[in-house]
Amino acid sequence: MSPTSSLASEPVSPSAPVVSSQRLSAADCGQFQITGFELPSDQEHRLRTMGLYEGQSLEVLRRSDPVIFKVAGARMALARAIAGGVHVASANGG
Amino acid sequence: MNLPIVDSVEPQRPTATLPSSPAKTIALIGNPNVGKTSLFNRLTNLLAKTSNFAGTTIERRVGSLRFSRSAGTPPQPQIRVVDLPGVYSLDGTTLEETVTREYLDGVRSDAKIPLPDALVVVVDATNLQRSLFISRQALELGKPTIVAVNLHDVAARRGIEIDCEGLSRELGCPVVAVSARSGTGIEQLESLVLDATGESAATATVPECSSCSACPYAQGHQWAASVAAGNSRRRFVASAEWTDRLDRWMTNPWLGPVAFVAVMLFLFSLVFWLAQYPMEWLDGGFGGLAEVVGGVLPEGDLQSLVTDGVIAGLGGVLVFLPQIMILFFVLTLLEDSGYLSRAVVVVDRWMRRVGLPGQAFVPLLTAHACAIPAIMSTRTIADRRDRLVSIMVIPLMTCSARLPVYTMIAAMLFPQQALYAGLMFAGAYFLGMIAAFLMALVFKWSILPGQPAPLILDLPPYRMPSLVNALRTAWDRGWAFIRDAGTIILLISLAIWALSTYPKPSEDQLLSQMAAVQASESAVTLSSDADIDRLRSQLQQEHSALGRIGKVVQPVFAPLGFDWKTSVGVMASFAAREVVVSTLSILYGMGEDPGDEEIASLHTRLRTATTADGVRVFDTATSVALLVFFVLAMQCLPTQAVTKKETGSWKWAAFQFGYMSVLAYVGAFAARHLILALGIA
Repeated sequence: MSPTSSLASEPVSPSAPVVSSQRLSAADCGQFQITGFELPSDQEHRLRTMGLYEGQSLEVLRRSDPVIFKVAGARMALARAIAGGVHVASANGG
Repeated sequence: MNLPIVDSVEPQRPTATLPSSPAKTIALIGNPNVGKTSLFNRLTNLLAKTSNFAGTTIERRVGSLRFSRSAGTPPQPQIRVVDLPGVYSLDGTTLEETVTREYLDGVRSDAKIPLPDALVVVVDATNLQRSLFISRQALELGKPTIVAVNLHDVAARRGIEIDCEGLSRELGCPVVAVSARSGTGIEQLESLVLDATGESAATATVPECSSCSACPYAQGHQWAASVAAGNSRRRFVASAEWTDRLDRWMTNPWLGPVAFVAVMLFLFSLVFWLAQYPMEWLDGGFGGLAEVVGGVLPEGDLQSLVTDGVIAGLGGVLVFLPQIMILFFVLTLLEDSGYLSRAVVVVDRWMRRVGLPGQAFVPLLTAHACAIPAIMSTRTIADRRDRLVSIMVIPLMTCSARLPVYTMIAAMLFPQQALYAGLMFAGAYFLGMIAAFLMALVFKWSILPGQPAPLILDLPPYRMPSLVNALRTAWDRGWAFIRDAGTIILLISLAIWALSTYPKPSEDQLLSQMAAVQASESAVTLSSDADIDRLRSQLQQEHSALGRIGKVVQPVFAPLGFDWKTSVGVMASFAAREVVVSTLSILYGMGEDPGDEEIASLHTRLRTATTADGVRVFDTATSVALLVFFVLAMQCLPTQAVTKKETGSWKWAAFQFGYMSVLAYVGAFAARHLILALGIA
């Protein structure tokens, strides 16, 4: 059902403006910016209504399953399966 | 099987045919966790009706605006307030979002909740950025709109100051700071509502550009973020907030589960302990009532109908109320405090392995008190499949009604051996839990395939919960149970009463049978009237439809080692499992309502009961089989009624009954033969 599992080793899209884009599920604690989604449309839609969109910044608080982060002034938990479909880039450029 | 979780569809009337009512309607819109319901309670003074949107389990609440002293000039107009479900957007795809949008579009409005004349968007002062997003979508509806900035006092304490005038200029609609908890700003909100529903109300205009539909979310959220940033100011930065500090512990991979187990054990024992008192009072009260009424009415069928049928049936409904209400009271406090979503984070990973979502944990735990509130509390599970799996396995948990049965079996197996009896109880609880998780796995592989919906969860800040809200929810749930399940339970109790009363043996039949018993069993001495009464009710029970059914089905239960009396007990406990104790009590000649001393002698009598050829009826293998049967069987019609109500179909209730009965039979058979094979006496 989840397309994310089959995409484990796909290279980062070349159009991404930032040097290193990675999956939210693999991100360390710290500041990031969302660069894109790779999720079933209903899940992507749900995240967008909750304030996750390209360019939005977020702060990873705990890299467990589920991943816990701060976004749009709120705190959220996302199952690893979904966090794997959210692409982020380090906000510090590294 | 593909059944929607819905309830019966209410008749819908198109709004156009309604006479134009003088009453105006306002609707409250906002994100979850912004205190929308508290504000609703404040505006309606807790006088509201909770019902569901037709064909869904999505709740809506409707009440009348109760004006505080100074707002409005007398005579105050009648204004209806509608509390809509908490949503993040008006164009989303979740059921809540769809229902909210359809209501605002006029598809779901009816006589009870006509289209709103004005909207009140509730936003959270402590997180303006997130909660303002939906206000933009609300403004696009073009109705008179008011934005209520709730939790203003909490924000102020955290050093957040919000410029309501600035907000009002930018949004192009009135903005008022309120605190639903303390009541500040409520009068202002009321007079704004009066203006908005009046003749010359200004309709909302969409703030700035709205033509960009390519990226409405980024646009909307960026707009919300900039408006929020432009109109709020941090007077000081609160040092490491409560939420951060608490979350470091509560979501920690090691400490989180420990905290979770501690909180849940505390909660569960509290509910269990608190509920026992009102349950005893209710039980005693109805017993006393039956006695009084029984004394007034002449002896006969009418007396029996009123005392054993109606009063006992009512008691059987109301006895569940304390647990339901206390449980929802405590759960609402826990939810409002913000902890419940942390608990979901902690258990989600583990629950997912057996195909259950993290949100199912609280219902499964609750089911150890009673399956009814547990099934009702699965409403927090958004996904239909996940909710169905949870409802299906919930009654496998050992509920409090099983305890008298376990006590009886413990006395048969381990008289005067408290330690072994305790271990037996623990084993029965454990068996129920294992069975629930295994069945969840089986459903995942068979009729309810798929993974639980992956977790997307908002973690609201920790807050002081509101007692009033919790009381209100407890009341709502209790009332919903009586309204939805009460009548069904009462009817079924009456049916069971009729089955166990009719047909009656004639007086001649009774007398000859009593003489026969006396002649054949020298041990039975009919010295007193009480003994004669007992034998009489024993013979009547045997003669009744239920007794006959028990005798007919006895061959079915023979492989489990049950004699015909036990089979009658199993049949009689079809509606309520604890009935087996009183039925066996009657059939083994102990009278109808055994007291503490009589219970002890009932246990002795059961333990020493023998068949005609002198073999013990309840040997170890049969007792264990009986225990396993009662752990796994679905013997609770009230639960079935609630399953029907919550799944919208008798099919799921029937399926639940069917699979649990098969499981109980197979389990009891296996247990009996395992014990026989091992040669345990």
